[in-house]
Amino acid sequence: MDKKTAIVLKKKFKEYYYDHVEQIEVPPHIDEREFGYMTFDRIMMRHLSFQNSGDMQAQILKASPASVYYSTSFYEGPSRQMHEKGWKGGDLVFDIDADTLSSPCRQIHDKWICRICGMQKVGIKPNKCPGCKGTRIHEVNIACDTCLDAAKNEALKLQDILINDFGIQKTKIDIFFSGSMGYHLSIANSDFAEANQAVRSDIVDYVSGQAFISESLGVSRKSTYENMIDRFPSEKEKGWRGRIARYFKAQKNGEGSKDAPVILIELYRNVGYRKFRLAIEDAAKKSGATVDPSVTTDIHRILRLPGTLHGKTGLLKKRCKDLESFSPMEDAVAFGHDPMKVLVDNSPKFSLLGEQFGPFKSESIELPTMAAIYLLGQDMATVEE
Amino acid sequence: MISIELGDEDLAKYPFLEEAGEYVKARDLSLVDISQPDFKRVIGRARNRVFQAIRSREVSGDIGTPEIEILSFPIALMLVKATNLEHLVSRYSHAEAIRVENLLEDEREDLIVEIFRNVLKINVILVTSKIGFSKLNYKIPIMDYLRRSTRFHELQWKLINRIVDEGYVYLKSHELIRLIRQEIENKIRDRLKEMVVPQLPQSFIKTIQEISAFSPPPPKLNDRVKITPDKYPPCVITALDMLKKGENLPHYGRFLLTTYLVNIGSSVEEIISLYSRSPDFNERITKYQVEHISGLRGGRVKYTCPSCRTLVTHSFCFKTKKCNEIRNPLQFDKKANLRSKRKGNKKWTKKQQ
Repeated sequence: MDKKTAIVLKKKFKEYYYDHVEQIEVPPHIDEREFGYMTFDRIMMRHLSFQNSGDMQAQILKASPASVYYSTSFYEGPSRQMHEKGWKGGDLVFDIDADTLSSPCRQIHDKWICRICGMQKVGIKPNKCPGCKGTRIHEVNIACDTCLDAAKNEALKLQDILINDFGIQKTKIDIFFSGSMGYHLSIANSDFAEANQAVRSDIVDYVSGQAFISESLGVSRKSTYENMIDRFPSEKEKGWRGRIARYFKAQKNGEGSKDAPVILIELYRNVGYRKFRLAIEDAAKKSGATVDPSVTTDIHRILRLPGTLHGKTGLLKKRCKDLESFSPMEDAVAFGHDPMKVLVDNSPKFSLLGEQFGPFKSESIELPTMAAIYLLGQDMATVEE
Repeated sequence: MISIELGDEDLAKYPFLEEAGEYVKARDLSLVDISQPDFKRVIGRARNRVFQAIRSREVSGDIGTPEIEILSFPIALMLVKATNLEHLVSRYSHAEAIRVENLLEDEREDLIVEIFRNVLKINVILVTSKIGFSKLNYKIPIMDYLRRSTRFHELQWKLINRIVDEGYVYLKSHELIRLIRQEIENKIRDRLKEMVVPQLPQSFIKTIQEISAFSPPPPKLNDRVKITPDKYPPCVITALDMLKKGENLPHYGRFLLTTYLVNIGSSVEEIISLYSRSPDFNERITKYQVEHISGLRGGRVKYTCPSCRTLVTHSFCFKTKKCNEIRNPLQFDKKANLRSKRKGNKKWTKKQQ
């Protein structure tokens, strides 16, 4: 990002925060949290702490940074160096990112640029540049409605698991649109606050359907057919056994009213133990919610603060009161329609507040502030001289 | 305190209960008292408890005379403590925990629930309806389960392979009991650590000397032998291959590789040179990160290698048959050594018997 663009973005963010500072959410135990922010010059500030919401708001307004973060954990001394902070506990958080879900539309709207030879193409970033074989590849990805719907679907799956299996009340699960490509789910003040990394890691595997074994369905390498059908789960069963049963039932929906245990025993009979086990593992992964494991397991993580702007999109990290009806490209739009002149390098089609923009290629254009900032933040445009 | 009626036999089975402590206290016995011939059988059982722990790593659960069983427990603790042998404390605590585990297996459900609630502060609830395909008699809150289960590495203990519903994990009786062995062991160990041994009469000193003589030698720490690359675990080999091919090694792969190499004794320079092939190599940043992980910067804490379970979570486990049942990549090469060592130990024990 060039200097001029950075200055303009900072000014716009400051204006926004000036009018909306009250909308920045105050995390519980604010005085025990670490805060951090990243400026538009990409300088990261960490280990900040605030005694109250007023101090926090004043600092955000003053710095008007590209991104504001808060620690999901709480500490005895949040502003001390990491090893001296004194971990007291942390919210249980999950990050769902459209970027990790390989929606087919990404072939159309993603773009990559090789930092070594300058080659750029539309599509998913390759591991190696086909031109120079280099691996320093910059990725430009815009989340379209299809990607964001896929992310929402994962968030709904996760919400279902947290409510039904973990017994967490729906009102205790805070769900936010991340401001860019996905959703954050956070549970504060629960039994899980004291969970260490190993516990959080096991929770991640649970929600994402990792490491489910066929023995949990009553089938091992040494199993015989005797009573096997009685060990298989019905669709009504609780936890993962029921989830697996429902998955296979849904797969065979077109084939009449066979019950899940019958479907499972037929599968076992047709493919044998080894392939049955693989099919079960696959079913578990597909029925689970795809979350970023490192966000949940890293207890020293800082996460975007709800109610603040995302430096790359100008969209808000916004609380979803009702996830099903939440529309990110409408509900999280922060900036308005005042015109701004920008020089767009290359941009796919996108829409904000129901208005379509692009595609643009090397053109100077006047856009509503919301669209201009959306492109400026992602390095797809620069401010016109 | 436990809210159901406990008989002497219950106290004999679980002498770590507060109620058993009170039983002993009420007898108001001095060291001189227990040195009398009347207590010969109690002292004999105390001695026998310790020798069982040394020989078979398990104290027997035969109750015999409850009074002897209850009184012999604190005396056995005193004998162990008086030897001043740290590794005997561990072995004895473990052997007593195994005894408790075996006894709990045949215990009545209401007493199990009471012991869990009072001693371990776990809210165990009896389950009456059928759930899943096998009989699951108990449920406990998820967090109470995870706090303990994450110590086990077998996949069956992972939360996903349990029946979980509305915040509770459903368990069979022996699973519930297995889950808390370590805690019983810790309770006994803590009690031993806090114990202050008074001046003992001559008759005890002889027994203590005998125990010390029969006690196995403390486990020797392996001399660190440099592990050669052909003995690296498959995940580390994959990470190295990716670097060699110039592929972008994901963050977790880098963390694994660095912590592994740091822990097997590679130097900071050796590690940095590996990353120098990486296309986004920045010597200054790499040096900082490697030094941080090695404990030379920041918190001065040397990071350990992530466990195999964590690697599965981060999709960086490339398990092969050779991995066998290891829990951490660092165990990969040591496994064979360890096995032959264990065999050796067994022989030693047999000879003593």
